[in-house]
Amino acid sequence: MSNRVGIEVSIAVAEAVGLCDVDVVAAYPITPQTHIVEHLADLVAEGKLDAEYIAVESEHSAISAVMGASATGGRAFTATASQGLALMHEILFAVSSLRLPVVMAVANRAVSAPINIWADLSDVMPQRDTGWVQLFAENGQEAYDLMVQAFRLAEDHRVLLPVMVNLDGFTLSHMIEPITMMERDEVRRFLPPIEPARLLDPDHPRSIGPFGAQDVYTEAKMQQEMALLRSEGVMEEIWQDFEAQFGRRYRAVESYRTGDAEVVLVTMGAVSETARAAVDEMRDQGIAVGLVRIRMWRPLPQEQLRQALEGAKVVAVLDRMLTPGGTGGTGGPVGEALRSIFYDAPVRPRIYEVVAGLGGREINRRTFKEIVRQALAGQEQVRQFTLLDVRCA
Amino acid sequence: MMEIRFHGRGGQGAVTAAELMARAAILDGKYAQAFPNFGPERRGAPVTAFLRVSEQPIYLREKIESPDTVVVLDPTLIDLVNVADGLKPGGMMVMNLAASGRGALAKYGDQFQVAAVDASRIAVETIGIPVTNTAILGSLIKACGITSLKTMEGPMQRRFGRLAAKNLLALQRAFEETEVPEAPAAPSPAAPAAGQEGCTYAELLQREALLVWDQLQIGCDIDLPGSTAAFHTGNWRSAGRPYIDREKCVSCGFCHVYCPDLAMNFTDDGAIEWDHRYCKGCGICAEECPKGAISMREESHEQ
Ligand code: SF4
Ligand code: SF4
Repeated sequence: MSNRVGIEVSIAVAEAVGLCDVDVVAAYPITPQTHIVEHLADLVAEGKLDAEYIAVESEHSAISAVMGASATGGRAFTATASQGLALMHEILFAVSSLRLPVVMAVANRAVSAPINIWADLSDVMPQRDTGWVQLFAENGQEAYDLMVQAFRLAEDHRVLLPVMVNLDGFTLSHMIEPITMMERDEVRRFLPPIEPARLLDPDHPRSIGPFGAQDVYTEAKMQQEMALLRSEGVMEEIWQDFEAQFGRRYRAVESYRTGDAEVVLVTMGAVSETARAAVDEMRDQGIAVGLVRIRMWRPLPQEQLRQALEGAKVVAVLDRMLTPGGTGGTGGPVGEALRSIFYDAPVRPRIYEVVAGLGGREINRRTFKEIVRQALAGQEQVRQFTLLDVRCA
Repeated sequence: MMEIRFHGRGGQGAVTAAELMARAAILDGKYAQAFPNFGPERRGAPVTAFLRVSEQPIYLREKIESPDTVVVLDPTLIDLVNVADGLKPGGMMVMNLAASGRGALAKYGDQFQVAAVDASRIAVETIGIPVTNTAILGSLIKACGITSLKTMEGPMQRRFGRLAAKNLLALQRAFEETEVPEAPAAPSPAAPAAGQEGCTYAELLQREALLVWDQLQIGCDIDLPGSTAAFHTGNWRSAGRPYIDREKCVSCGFCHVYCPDLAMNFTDDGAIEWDHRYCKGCGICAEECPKGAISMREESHEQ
């Protein structure tokens, strides 16, 4: 029996969170995340989800509330975007440092100014170093599936870290597309009830988040870092289990037609499907091009990325956020990461870095063809990256 | 270069003492650095401050591990912290200690030179309160040079304004009254004794028995409820404690509510009782008692 339905991705994401039997949702609505939390509020109001929905007054409060809920042993969820994520920034560190398995969906959107509500990654990239596991969905099915997988990863006692699931605002969040929905009992089989590693419990008092001076702070960070690094392997296990149960296979890094590719595109998020279509069309024209997509951004699957890209002559990387003032080839964070990965490699591909899609500027097949054309032509880059399509005199 | 560590209690002015000395040395044309042991500031808690003075520019921004000299502002610290920790062999100890308490110095006599002065008495007689940071500097100058009483006038004037004269008098008096050992065995900064060169991180772990990263509780939690009970803030108390006049006390409990360390407790029969382990001597209870039943007095052993 197939539960394949046409559904808005935001609604599907909310449905997935509902199937996970979350105990607490705290959120503040912000475009383009709104439909996710509205639907969760509906599910709670209609009695379909037995959870506490806390309508807070800001994103700072939203993340604080789910942090508290998680500390008491509940399964907690929030969602946000853009300025809302920026407002959460302070608390994001605390959630990961306290090792609380919160899950959050981010409907990626540009940050002000100018005010812009459309998709790029300039909201999430500044959160790169907050210690969260960060996953990026390519399509609706993936966004839906990742929500369920995210809770299992977060709550695994080898990990115990918050997980952020990113989905592009509008181009993914507001899309109506076919998604194969899961049944509640299937999800329960895949995702066991939360077993908190420890909790705020009046009968067993403890201090969560105490003072940590110079003599312990470094060790606390080491403990956290080891858990984050470990999460890569745990995620792989979870993806294998997921495949066994649901038949859909996920990997931290996905390669497409890279075998004999001279130039390999590197992308993240929903633009990757368009990139794949562009690769097919270019292949038809005889261009040896492939695609590598990064699904897991933190922890960065460095070895998998290196292997996926090692045969390429040119790696053409698309960053959808500008790292202001970066020099020496750091147009954006993904380009920077790839340059670091290959710095010590005996054979290094040329890295052609393009920043595009800012503030939701259209990225289509022509965009990828142009990137590949420039990369193969060995086009000189002014600051070692190219701001694609920018209007100049 | 001379490296000096000051031991005092929060609020006693150890940091100010190091600062004043540094300013004076800089006025003399030398190079100097003064800095506290950065951390949460708690009145009465043992604190340290550091001073480096050199004829040459100083390119160090680290704590002083093997001082040439230690300065102890508060005699009660001797039993509480190892004030001689890392002090170079033959190094100088400048101690505030009443003549009657000098027996405590015996344990230092073999290894170090000790210059003692009753700075508390001098401070009370000159400034009117037992704040010893300026007096002790007179002793430090007598023992180690570094700067002159004359140069100290400028920085003291700037720091204390109209109170400068009294503080300068304390400085002068302490300078005169400090007994410096006759023939100082010249410390040799070039050759620190074994075991004093700072230790490796592994040794530090051993010494402090700190947990390694994977032994920490998840998220650095503490699962011992009320673990702060083991933290005796009573150690911070140095300038008097509250005395309760039971005749005046009406058991209203204000002192219990206001005490920041819960050092005022109700006994079973409803009376208020003082807990010496946690009282840090802040005086808030005396301030808040509506009946004036609490007075802050110098600590004596009978009540
Ligand atoms: S002086 Fe009074 S208020 Fe202050 S700690 Fe002691 S008992 Fe508490
Ligand atoms: S505040 Fe004064 S009157 Fe009230 S309980 Fe304390 S000592 Fe007694």
